[in-house]
Amino acid sequence: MSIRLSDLWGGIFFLLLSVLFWLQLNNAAFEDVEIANNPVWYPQILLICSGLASIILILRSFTGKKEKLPKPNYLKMLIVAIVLAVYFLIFEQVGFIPASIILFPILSWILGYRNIVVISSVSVIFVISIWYLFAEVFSVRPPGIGMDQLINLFMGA
Amino acid sequence: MDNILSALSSLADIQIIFLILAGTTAGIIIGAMPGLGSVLAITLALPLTFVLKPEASIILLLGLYCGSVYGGSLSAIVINTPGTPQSAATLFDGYPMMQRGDGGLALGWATTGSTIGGLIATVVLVIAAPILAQFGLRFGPVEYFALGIFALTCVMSVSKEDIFKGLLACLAGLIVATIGQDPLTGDMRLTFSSFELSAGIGLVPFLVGLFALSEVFWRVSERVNAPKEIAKSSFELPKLSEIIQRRVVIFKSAMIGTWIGTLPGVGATASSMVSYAEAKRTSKNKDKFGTGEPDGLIASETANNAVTSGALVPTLALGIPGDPITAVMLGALTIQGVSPGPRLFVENGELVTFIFIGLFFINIAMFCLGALICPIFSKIMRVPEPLLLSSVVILIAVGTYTISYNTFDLLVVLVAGIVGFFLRVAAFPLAPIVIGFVLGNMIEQSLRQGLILNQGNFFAFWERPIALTLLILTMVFLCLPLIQRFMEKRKLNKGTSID
Amino acid sequence: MKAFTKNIIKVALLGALISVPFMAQAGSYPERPVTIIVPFGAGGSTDTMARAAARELEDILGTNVPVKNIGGGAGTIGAAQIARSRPDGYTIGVIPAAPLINQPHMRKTPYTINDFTYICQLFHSPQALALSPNSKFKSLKEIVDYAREHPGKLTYGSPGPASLPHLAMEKFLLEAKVDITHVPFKGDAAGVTALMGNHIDLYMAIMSNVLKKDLNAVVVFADERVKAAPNISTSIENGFKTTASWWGGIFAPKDIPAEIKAKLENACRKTTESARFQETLYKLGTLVKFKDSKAVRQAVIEGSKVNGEIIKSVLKK
Repeated sequence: MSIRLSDLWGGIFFLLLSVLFWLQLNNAAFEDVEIANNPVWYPQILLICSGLASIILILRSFTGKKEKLPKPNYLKMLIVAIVLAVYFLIFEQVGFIPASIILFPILSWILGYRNIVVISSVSVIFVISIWYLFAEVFSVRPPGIGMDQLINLFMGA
Repeated sequence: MDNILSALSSLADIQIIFLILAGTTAGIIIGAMPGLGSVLAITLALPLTFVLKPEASIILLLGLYCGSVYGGSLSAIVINTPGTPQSAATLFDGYPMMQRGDGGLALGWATTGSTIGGLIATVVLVIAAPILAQFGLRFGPVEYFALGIFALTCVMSVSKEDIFKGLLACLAGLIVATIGQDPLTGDMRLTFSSFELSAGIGLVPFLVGLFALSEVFWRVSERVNAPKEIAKSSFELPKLSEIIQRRVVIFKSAMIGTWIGTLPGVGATASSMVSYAEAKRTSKNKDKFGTGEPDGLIASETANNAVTSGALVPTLALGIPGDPITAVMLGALTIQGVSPGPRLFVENGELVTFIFIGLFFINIAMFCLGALICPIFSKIMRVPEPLLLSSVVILIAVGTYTISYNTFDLLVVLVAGIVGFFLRVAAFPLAPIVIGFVLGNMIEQSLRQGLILNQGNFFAFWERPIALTLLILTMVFLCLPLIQRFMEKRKLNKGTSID
Repeated sequence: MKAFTKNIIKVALLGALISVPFMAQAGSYPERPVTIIVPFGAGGSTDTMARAAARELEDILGTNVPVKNIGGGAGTIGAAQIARSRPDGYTIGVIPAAPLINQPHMRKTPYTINDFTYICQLFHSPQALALSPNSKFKSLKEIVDYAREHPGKLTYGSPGPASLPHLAMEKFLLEAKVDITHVPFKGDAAGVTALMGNHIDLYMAIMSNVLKKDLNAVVVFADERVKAAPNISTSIENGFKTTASWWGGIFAPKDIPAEIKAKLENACRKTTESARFQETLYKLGTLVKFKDSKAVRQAVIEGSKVNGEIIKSVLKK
């Protein structure tokens, strides 16, 4: 992508965002209130500024620099984003330890690390030590089943 | 004198020494972890404040506080993620230094700057706490507004390549900060009918997503795995001659930090931005700001650690805590029957002296512990990148989730991360977004409060000397580069015409 | 074979373990730690109350009572979390009244006052009106007289829109029929500093903050004078009817088993009887006040009705 193109996309993105926010603000009618008691006055000023700035950016894109920007690998980023979205969404329900022990190897593999022994041992050790750090040292318990319950389960049986 | 002797003798207690070391170490580690911050650090110590003597609990809290503010700079420098919001401005120059291979030196400067900042602030506290507290009272809404506008100017220096895109990014930050409940009327705005959004976007998830997660995406998507710069050394203290050379920046940042610390509710994040803006305005190396200039790093780190002492000024002298940490301290004191306020310095002079001397030792301990921890921390870079990134993701998730046990915060992280990634692709600077976001609430609230107090007349703002000074400084700062460029062009034109 | 059966037992136990939290066992309550959710950040007034209560509850219930701070949205985020917790008695909340009786009138909250089991009231602290250091006023009457002659000229601060002090002051202004301009701040720290710097004329605060911060209060909105500050006259003595306080207690999700509820109510009563708890609260300028489940439920319903009307008439013009 060239800088010109980045100006164009950036300008369009912020313009759309400003319009979307503007419509959301106008749902609430606060017309004849004095400024200090008007909750939409200040964000509206900001939105006007950002809208104008986006339009200028779009205009600049026609005359801007043609210098190239580095081209990222979108596919790889998209895959990682989806994996993370799933991880974040199941984090509360499935629990920290199971979700993270599943995520770590998958993510490391996608990112190109192939030594299975290292991956599996690091993922178990890292996740368990983080759990202890949070639950026992910080006394903030991560969600889901904890090490203490797991140990009780296996030692007790 | 008696006070100093008795304070020293209570410091010689083995329990106190242990608490200084333990508190500071724990603070540094917590601060260095993205998502965890000073508030978690003190929550940890809360149950202890019911049990310990007042001296001991205050020392522990102060150690955690100073340590965590300093610790945030480590991850800002090493993995381009501010460990705590207070270190957001450390990123601007710290990470570029790391990329250049000067990571060890950057950590050294952060350590030195933080320590000197803390020490200077403590000295100021000893000399002038009551006076500073009185001066702080002269800051009303109008002055806060002017201060916020002045701090905004640091957007100029962190969006070096493209000021226009920086400005747009800053506006975006200001707008995102308005989501949720209007601070003045309590009405909801920009919430898209979502209950979670009505509480606004949290600073920590926003910051962590924008920097840490987008960094993960960015590294993932790099086509060629660029040969990673290996830091020449893992920790390198700056030479004494260099420290002396940069004495002006150090001293000024420490003073700014102390002074802003005395204003309740402004906080270390905003103070490091004000300090950064001021350093950028006056430093000899101002053109290099944003590209890995130690002055920028020093300005941020010195100021945010000076805040820790500054925040004690209103707490002790007026009984008004400036942030959650000093609020807890105040609670610990009151439970023990000591009531902070104007009378504290007279009635409990011994305790006050003890706090000052304790702060002194904590800052020195922080320096030594930093020198021990930094080399270990910078070894993180030797971990294979896929494993490092996977670990960062897990830390982000658990650190952010446990703040309020809410999946919504993780969604904020994800969205901020994706938006941050695409903004990076389109060459938008990310730092201005955070600057706008951090300062947005203060600017809006103080502006509208000022309007209420002045019957809607904005021009009354210009009649207040402190506010006027700040606003004029802002304008000078904004116009100066333009004038300079104009002058240079004229010189250049003259030069060519003579040829 | 032995190993196989052992594995089966493990799997079965794992299943049982996962389902344990879903069943409320009233018989031997409490078997695990009881978590207290505080809908405000660490170090605030509510947090201090909750931690002092947690210390007593640990002794009374004989289990760990960790405190979890879930701040944001003027207390609504944490209150919502409590309302949607499992009603098994292992998650309870120490909540001040505002997120329940004020906020649902301000925004769409995912809970109503009917989504909680009201265990008890623990503490209360009356509201007081403080003067700036430069103030020329000496009594409430002088303030009211001045405000009547100069409508809108005086300013008063509060820790935020629709906070208890804000609504208390508006309630008083409605009764006194005068106009004093409201300047909302973000929390007491910013507001009190503005008062001490003479940027505003008056500040409405809870009595505990007046004492902690050594403010010059002119009137306390209560039936009787506060023991820790016997010189401050009450609104009743000044001939007004308005009384107002910051109060809160232990609330749990709706429909917790009756046995557990009774156990908690009893533990709560014992907490308020503890000398250590009373002393801690006294030092913080707050009063211990026990109300049982029925009474506190009634107070919430009434408070919600009264404040809903004030919010409608003052804020949503």
